[in-house]
Parts: sequence; structure tokens; C-alpha cells
Amino acid sequence: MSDRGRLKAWIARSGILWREYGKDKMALFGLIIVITALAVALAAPVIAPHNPWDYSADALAPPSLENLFGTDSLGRDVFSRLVWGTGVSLTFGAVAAGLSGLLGIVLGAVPAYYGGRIDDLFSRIFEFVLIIPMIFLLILVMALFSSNIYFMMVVVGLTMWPWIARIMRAQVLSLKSKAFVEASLVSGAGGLRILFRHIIPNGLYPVVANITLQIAFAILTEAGLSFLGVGDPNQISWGQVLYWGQLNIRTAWWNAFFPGLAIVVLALGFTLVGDGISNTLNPRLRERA
Amino acid sequence: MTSLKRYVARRTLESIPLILAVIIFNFLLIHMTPGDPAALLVRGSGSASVDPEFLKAVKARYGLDRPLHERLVAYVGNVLRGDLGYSFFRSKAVVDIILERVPATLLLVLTSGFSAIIVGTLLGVVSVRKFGSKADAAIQITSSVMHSIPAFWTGLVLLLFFSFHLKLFPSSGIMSPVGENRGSPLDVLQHLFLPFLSLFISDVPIFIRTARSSVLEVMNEDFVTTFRAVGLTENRVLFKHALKNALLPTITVAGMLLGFVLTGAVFTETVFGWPGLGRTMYEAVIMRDYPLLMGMFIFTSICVIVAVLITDILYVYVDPRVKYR
Repeated sequence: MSDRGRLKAWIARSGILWREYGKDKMALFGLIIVITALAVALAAPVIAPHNPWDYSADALAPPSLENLFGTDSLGRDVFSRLVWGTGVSLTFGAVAAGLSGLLGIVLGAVPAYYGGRIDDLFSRIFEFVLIIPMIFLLILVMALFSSNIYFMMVVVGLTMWPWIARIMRAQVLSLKSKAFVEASLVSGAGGLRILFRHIIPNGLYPVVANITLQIAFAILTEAGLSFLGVGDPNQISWGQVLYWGQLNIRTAWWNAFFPGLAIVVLALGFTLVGDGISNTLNPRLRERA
Repeated sequence: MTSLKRYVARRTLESIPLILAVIIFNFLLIHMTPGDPAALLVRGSGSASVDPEFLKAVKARYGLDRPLHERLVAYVGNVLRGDLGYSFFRSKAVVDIILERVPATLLLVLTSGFSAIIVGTLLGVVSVRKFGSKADAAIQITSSVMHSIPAFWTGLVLLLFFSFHLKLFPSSGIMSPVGENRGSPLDVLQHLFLPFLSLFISDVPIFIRTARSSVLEVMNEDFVTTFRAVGLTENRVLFKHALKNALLPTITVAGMLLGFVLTGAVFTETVFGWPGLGRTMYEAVIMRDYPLLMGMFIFTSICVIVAVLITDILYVYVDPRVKYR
């Protein structure tokens, strides 16, 4: 099939899937959350009423019309900090999950395609990474090396890829024996070419669903690591706002409550979108046999 | 040897490289950090400038004056002998600090973990029984929402409401600092309640999801169709036969889920000042107590590896259909 033909087929399939996705109200709700967050991140300078870094004498002021979510211990406006932090948290989720997705697709597909020793070796690596409790490793690595937020994105991405790789591997193993792959082998196409042009694109949908879920997971991980005190103090991420807020939880509940709520809502948005994608693709969960 | 025994022996042998990999990985981490690993280990031993003689003694103790491959062998040997290093902040062996904190974590993790397994599995089954109904949707939405709530935020909100606002429960610790009742079972239960609830809320969704998908899977199998065909009621098919088969996947993942539950415990214990492993981890982060942080990583990893091994072995005992691959 020509590239154009394949693109058309892909678009047609996506159209059908989109109609199916649209029937799922929760999935649509998730999508609305995600799109709203994107809009807030892009329009942050317009939306935020105050400069998120500006100190004021009005420390730990409760929520009011002037400061919707109150102020923190340095008198900074919590609402404005959350608005500015939206982009940081979204970027964090996208970079970590993107890196994990990229690594997972390649490192899941290539060994599975060739099979044999390499495949065994990689399966052991997945097992190793999946088994160890990651939070302890992440805390250790962040404490040892650096609390820089970009470093954290990469490290979190590096701990998540085996989940994707395992799904990609299963997809490749089941597609490898399908007729269209054998047909292209017979027609003389080379190994990796078949893998990257025929097998991976056909097995990509469940992987995409899981990458979306990992965005939510990455955002929660950043918040968690910040909460434990290994976050980047130079960034206004939601995790950082929460970390500074919870120090004053006895006197100013709004300092920790609102950042936490923001994290929950955004993570929920990505979870619902991810679930929506996988429900759309998995007919067994959709209609009972 | 029977094939079952052989399977157990082989699975046990397979766990050894995993444990070694954790230890070696930890070793590499120490040596990848910029600067002198010995200086890293003695951080917090008192003065800002460390006595060179003392540093030398530490180097000799942990073999840091020898070439890298010898160090690795010495390090692995130390860990396997139970020497996880020495915390200079606490003037105590890391392994002693950890073992001291295990009971509190066990109390919290076991009570909330088992409650979450039971409630989660039941809700998962109910959601399949009412497939496509409002109850199913409600369970699914609740579990998605709960899944997105980080354990520390659940804890903070419970703390704000039940402890600070209603003043119904104590806000931190495992027992009252003073008073006649200090340390009585009732006192501990009162302190346990909020951390328990918090960890329960964060663990339940994963069990709902596991149960729901495995029951759905089983409901498509031939034996279920047969039971339906011979006229068994749907409830009987589900609770008596399908549930039994669907519980097996829950067992297999239970070992893996220990890591998940421990993660939740780190946050819950931190919020409620519960004196377990999680709180210790937090304290170690704040003090940058590297030997303790490393010890915690090795200790929890080995716990999870062993738990996975045990559940794998239990699984073949419980399910005769499993072939000992």
C-alpha cells in the first residue's frame, strides 16, 4: 500500500474510533479537563491576576475575591501560582510519558521482533524494573544527584518505559504471524522496515492508551516527590506549591487543599482519557459476550 | 524431584539474580555521584570538615580504598551478611533502624491492605454482576477518581477534616505522647484510624480494577457458559464459580502490589507521622541521610522480590491448571 493510501486508511479508522470514543461520557469529560488545562497553561499570563513570584505583606490570607485560593506564607497568590504551574505540570507529564513511550515502543518492539536471546534479556530487564518499588529508587536518585525538574522528568520517564514495552512486545508477538506481515516479507521488504512501517503502526493503539495513563502517573509522581522534599525549589510546579502549602496546613488549609485538588483533577482527566481510549479499542470490555 | 518441587527451586534460583541486580545497581549509584563516596556516607557525622583519619577508617571499613571490582565484591558481601551501612545521623546501623520501624508499617499496611483486597474484590465482582448498569458506572467512576488522588492528599484532607476540624482523631503518631492510656490498644487504634482510612482509599481502586477485569475475563470462558446453560442462577455462577477462578489473578499480582502498597505507606506515614518505614524514608530525605536511603531501597526491593516469589509459588499450589513452565 502506498504511504498515502495507508494514511487515508489510518484516518478512516481514527474517525470510526473517535465516534466510538464520543459515546463514552466520562472519556469526553476527561478530554474537556485536559483541553481546559492546556488552555489555562497557554493563557497563564492573561488569567493569573498576580505575579506568581511576587511577595506581599498579606501572608497566609484566607481565600477572598482578591486572592481566590488565599495566599501562602510569603504572601504569594496561590491561585496565580497554580495557573502558572499548569504548564510546568503538563510539560512534566508530557515529557516523562513521551520519553517512556518512545523507549517503550522501540525497546518493546525490536527485541520481540527478533526473538531469541535478546528478547529473553529484555524480558528480564522489564521484570527487574517492574518489580522494584520505584518510589524508593526515585527518592534516592533525586536526593543523590539533583533536584532539577528536567532531570526528574527524564528519571521518571526512564522508570516507566517497561510498562509500555511489555504491551508493545505482546502486540508485536501477535502481529508478527499475521498474514499481512508475511505478505510483505514475501514481497521482499527488509526486517526493520516491516517492523517500523507495518507492525508498530498497527499495534500502536493500546500503547497510546497507556502512554496517556502514564501522563497522569508522571504528574502524580512529580507531586509525590515534591511532597517528600526532593522537588525542584526553583520551579512553580503544582507539587512545589503543595509542598510549601502543607508546611502551614494547621493554620492555612487552603495552602495545601487547592494545589492537591488541581493535581487530582488533571490526573483524573488523563486517566479518563486513557481509559476511554482503551475501552474504545477493547470490544470485550465494551460489550459483554 | 517432582515437577512442582523443581518449579519451586527454579523460581527461587531466578530471584537471586534480581536481588543481586538491586544491590549492584545501588553500588553503581553511589559511585556515579560526583565526589568522594566516603564523604557521602559520613555526611552528618557532626562537624562540617570531617577528620581525615575518620574518613580513612570509614574507607577501610567499607572497602572504599580498594579497586572498584574489589569494592563491589565487598559491598555485595556486606549487604548479604545484613550490613546495610551505618547512619552517622542516628549513630546506628541502618539495618537496626529499619527493623525497628517494620512493626508499625506492618500494622498499617496489613490492616488497610487486607481490607482493600476484600472490599475492592467485592466491588469489582458487583460491578461485573451489574455490568452496564448505573451501579457499575458508579463503581467505575469512583475507582477512577480515587485512582487519581495521591495518597498524601487523601491524608491531608482527612487530617484537616477529622482531626483539625472535628477533633475526632489525633493528628499524628502511633500513641499519645502522655497520659494514662498511652500505648493501650484503644489508644493505638485511635491513632491508626486515619492513616488506615487514607491508605485504604488509595489502595482500593487497584483491587477493584484487578477483580473486575479478571472476572470479566472468566465470564467469557466455556465453563461459565456451561453453568449458565444447565440453569444455574447468574448470582450462583458468579459468586460460586467465576469468583473462585477470578481470584487467582488477584493472588498473582498481590506480591507486585506490595510495592504499590508500600509506596502509599510512604506518603500516608509522612502525613500522619506514623513511625514506620515510610516516615523513616521521609526523615532520611530531609536529613539527606544517604546510607539510610540506600538501605531502605535495598530492603524494600528485597521484600517485594520475596513477596512475588512466595505468591508465584502459592499460585501453583492453588491452581492445578498452571503448568510449571
